[in-house]
Amino acid sequence: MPQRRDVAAVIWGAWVAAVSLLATGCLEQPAGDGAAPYAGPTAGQTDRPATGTAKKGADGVQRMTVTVDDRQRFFPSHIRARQGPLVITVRNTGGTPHTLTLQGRDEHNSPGMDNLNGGRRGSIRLNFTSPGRYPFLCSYHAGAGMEGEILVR
Amino acid sequence: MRRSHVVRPAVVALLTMLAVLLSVSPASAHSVAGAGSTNFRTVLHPSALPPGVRLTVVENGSRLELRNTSPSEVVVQGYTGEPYLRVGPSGVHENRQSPATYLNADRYGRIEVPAGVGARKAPVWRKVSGDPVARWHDHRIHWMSGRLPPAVISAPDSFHRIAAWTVVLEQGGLRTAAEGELHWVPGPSPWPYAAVGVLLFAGTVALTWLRRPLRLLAAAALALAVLDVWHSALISATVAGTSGDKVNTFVTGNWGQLPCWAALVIGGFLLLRSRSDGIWPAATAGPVVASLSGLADIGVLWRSSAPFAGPDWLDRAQVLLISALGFGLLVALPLLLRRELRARRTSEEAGDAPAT
Repeated sequence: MPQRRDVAAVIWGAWVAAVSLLATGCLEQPAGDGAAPYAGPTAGQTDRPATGTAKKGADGVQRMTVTVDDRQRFFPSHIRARQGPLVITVRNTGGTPHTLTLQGRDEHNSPGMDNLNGGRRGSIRLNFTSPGRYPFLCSYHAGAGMEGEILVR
Repeated sequence: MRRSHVVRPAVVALLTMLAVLLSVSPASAHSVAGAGSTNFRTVLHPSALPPGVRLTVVENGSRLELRNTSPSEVVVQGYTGEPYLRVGPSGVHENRQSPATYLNADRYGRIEVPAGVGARKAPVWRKVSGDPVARWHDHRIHWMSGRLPPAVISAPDSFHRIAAWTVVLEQGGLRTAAEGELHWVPGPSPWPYAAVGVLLFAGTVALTWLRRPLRLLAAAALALAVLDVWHSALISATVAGTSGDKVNTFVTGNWGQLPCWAALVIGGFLLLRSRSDGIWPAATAGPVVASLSGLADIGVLWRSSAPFAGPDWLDRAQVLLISALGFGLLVALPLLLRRELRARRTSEEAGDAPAT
């Protein structure tokens, strides 16, 4: 027959254990193997380069929406477009700021988007007058492979 | 065991738990500059920096440190080549128009860059320190993504060269590129350590079945306090900066452990004096310490590096011992009470028996 003190000790022990584990859970620990804690949604997105095609509107301007988040990826990272004006809307669904910086050639008449804070969206207007590949990257996270390209036909 | 011997320590233990709960904050995690144990390793290649200029990777790859004792300033370039920092005899100045000034304040760059800030705008300098040394979270040198690199996902147990990085320094019109690499260095298998941990835990629990369990449990409680202070001190020692910075990190990073260390010492001394009620504070503080220091740092068992000013084996041994002793003391509580109850019942029965 268990004594009242035994029961009290077991209850006390369980409470202490639960509180201890909860306290550990409260601590902010880097996720994975030292990678940043990831809190974004982006279900279904993979690390493979995703391709999207810009759609031409009635005004003759091509449009494309690119999503960025705390995984440090552009989605899509590869944009197909035709010569002419192209508006890229960038949605930052994460908490980390990003840039969309165009590299090299200047036919697009824009260096890209300087800084986009988390939870914001912004647009850049480009104009391509010749076909080619136009690489872009996030200046802050290029080392993590946050890059892509616009393929203009 | 008198009633007061149970109630009083139980109240002390309850207050300890409340103090711990109130004091635990994200800053309490056993990490330095926002980073804990990791398989990522930042390597800086030797480069011909100007005389008096020294660049080092500090805090297990979390930050870069630039020390300039030369007579002329060094300018560190930001992410788009803009001037970001000026470090020299007049101290450290940061460019308020460089996004790096804001992004580099946080290990993961989760920060809002103020509107109007632009790398292409004319620099606006602000003095932030009078010392010729600057430290910053340069996001070119460590892994920033919430996901592991694809190469690591496909072969996590192999070494990988993840990326090459360059930080450009400028002094007197001369540019120097400090170059390095980010590596993935797989850690050891955790299973042998897990087996040792289970044995240590079982050994701690078994102390209650040995002769003189109170002295043995006292030794366990005091050893746990000493081990955890030692472990926390070696983590704080990796903080780059002055001794004051290290002490500050030790105190603020272990706010939750401070009342627990006191409770372990009190419990240990009570047990040493053969007062079994000492098990209450020991069994209360033990698992809290095991959670905050042991479980929180358990990644060192399978990761290749951690912010710790000592050899890897010592870090792993401390984590195992802290976890095993802490949770072992928790389980020892009901076992010890039960043993005492049985002993008292036996002695009462012996006392009730008619003399022959």
